[in-house]
Amino acid sequence: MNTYEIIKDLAKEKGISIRQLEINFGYSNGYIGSWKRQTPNSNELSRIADYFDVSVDYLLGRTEKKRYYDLTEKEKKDIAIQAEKLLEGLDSDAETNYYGEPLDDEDKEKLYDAIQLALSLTKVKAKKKFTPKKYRQ
Amino acid sequence: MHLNKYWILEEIEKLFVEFGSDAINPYKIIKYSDIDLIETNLGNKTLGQTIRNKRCYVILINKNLSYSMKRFVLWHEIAHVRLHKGISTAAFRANNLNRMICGIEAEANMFAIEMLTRTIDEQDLSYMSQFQIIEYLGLPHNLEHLVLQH
Repeated sequence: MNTYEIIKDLAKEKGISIRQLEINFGYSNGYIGSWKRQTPNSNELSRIADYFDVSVDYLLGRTEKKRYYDLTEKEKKDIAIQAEKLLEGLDSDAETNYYGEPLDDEDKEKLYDAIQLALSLTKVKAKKKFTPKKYRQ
Repeated sequence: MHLNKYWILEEIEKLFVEFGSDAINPYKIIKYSDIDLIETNLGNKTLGQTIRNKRCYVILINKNLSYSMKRFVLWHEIAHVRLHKGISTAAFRANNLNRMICGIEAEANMFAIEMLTRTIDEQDLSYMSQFQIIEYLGLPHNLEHLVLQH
């Protein structure tokens, strides 16, 4: 995918047209369309990256992750496993436990969803907070 | 029950030093300490839970609770965050409210009730019995023994 297609997808996600985007940035009609053939310069790239809150690397098609703190597929799988372990009371990495109290299946499912949400939240937050600056882009 | 209440009172004083008059509002403390709060459906038995992962805290709270109970559970979870760093905290279950529970839960309950009693006017407080305080706060009656006498 080239830069134009990536920008088009991002605009579609946000629910605006390419023309509207051009108006927002003060570009002339069809200017973004010209990026089908040539890559935009760094200044334009960083403006668009800021607008969509993604990294410049993502716009250039060099990485799959939109932001440095996005979770990869593998990390999502890990979180699902960790949540299961937490629910069984086996994990010692993150803290919570139950002292052998029986839970019915419905409650267990609800708690599992909540724990999974909490774990992915903390993971993203930890990435935002503790990633060294030089690895952020 | 033999709990070291002076330790808990000390921690509460620290909270007031750190946050000033905002310390009375649990939502503000959660916001300032950068803890995430999720209100969700945890089923009938679980009231709230604290999860610590990668040095970040999340507090889960059951959305089906009443206003006064929500505040109590929030204080309970904050107590875990502040008093029991690094200790595994069990999920806060409905039957954790009676006496047969382990130490850290009792400490957290005591912390929670003490923080809630601070919202009552001091003049009024001097006339009230333990039972009346619990009634005033709108909490289950079996928490009565945890109210500290001043």
